[in-house]
Amino acid sequence: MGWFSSEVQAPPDKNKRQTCWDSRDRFFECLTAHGIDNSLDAKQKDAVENNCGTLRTEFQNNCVASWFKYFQEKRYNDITRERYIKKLEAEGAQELPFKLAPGKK
Amino acid sequence: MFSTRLIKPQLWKGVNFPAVPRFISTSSIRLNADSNKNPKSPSESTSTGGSGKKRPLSRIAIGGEQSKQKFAAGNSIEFASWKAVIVLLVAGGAATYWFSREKERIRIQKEVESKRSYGKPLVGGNFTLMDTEGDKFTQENLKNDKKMFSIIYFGFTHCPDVCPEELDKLGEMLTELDKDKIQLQPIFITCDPARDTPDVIKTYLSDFHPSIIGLTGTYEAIKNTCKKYRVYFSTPPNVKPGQDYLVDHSIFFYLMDSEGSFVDVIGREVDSKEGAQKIRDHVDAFIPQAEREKRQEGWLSFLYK
Repeated sequence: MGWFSSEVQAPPDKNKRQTCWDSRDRFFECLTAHGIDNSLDAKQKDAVENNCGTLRTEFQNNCVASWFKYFQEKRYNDITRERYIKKLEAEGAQELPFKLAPGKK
Repeated sequence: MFSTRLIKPQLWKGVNFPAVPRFISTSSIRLNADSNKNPKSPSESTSTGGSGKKRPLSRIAIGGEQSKQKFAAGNSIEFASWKAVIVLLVAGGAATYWFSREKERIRIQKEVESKRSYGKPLVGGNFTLMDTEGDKFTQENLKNDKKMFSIIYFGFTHCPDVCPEELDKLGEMLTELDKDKIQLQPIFITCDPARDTPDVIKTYLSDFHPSIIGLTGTYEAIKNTCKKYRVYFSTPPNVKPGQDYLVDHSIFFYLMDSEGSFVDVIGREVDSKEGAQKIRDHVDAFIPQAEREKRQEGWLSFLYK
């Protein structure tokens, strides 16, 4: 198997997680500053590379591959969701007066 | 009229009626006592009975004392003194506190009771897994006589953000409850048995809380357990060995009582303080099955319906 597969097998520990999250936050801050929503979009590739290239590499090095992808997808989802809620609110939609929880009357 | 009144005690004397438990018919007992005091024959007392205050249809029982002095004004004023007011306030306050507490407890008990169904449980059930020491761990390990609840979390060690946050929350809840001397059995069940070997889980969990028990098993055993707990999880298909991937799964804490029955879930929206309070309330309201059945049959059962 060798060195590479054993590294993938072991999950990130507390320190590695924190390092990954920190570099993720720095990269995302940069994306927000440059108005980039979807960093995985092929059209945005150049903009990401030119503006936040080093932070992106750092983020990629500090996180396992699945997290690197997951966090970027999640960021785009969250942004889309938030915009949608804002749009609904602007149209005068109101929040439900109760929580949608199972088993509650 | 008279003759009947006076004959009665005579009859009772013969039966030797017990005087103590008759709280209501005190006048009859007095009559009885009276006739004991005056060993006159019934015919003699007829003549005296008609005289003086004891007239027919009088409200005062024959032989009864004049009771005007019993409610002397002085007595009642003394009773309604400041001491009595204090006694009333303290007793009333204590009773109010106790009742409101009991009310909340009974509400939680009813809620749990309504979730408890006969036959197959809705959430939870039999499972056979293995802990990080390599020992067998089944639903029987949830049961104990110490009223120790279990809290179960399903996750996987490669989980990017949710699981670590939730497990940190679990650690905080355990520390918080430990202050109140509430012991819990925290359990982590992996949804990713292919990568999460006992050693991997052991190292992973040591980051969060030393008491968390990590469980794994064969893919089939994990799938079966997840099904019993209504946990959805999906491992991507066609994963090559050594490849990095994520597992999608439901994120709930399952609170189980010391009889291995499902009590409640704690979701992601609840923070550690709220979660700990929820557990505290449930542990406080918990009554073992034997006692529960006794209550249902007891004369106070209407209180719990």
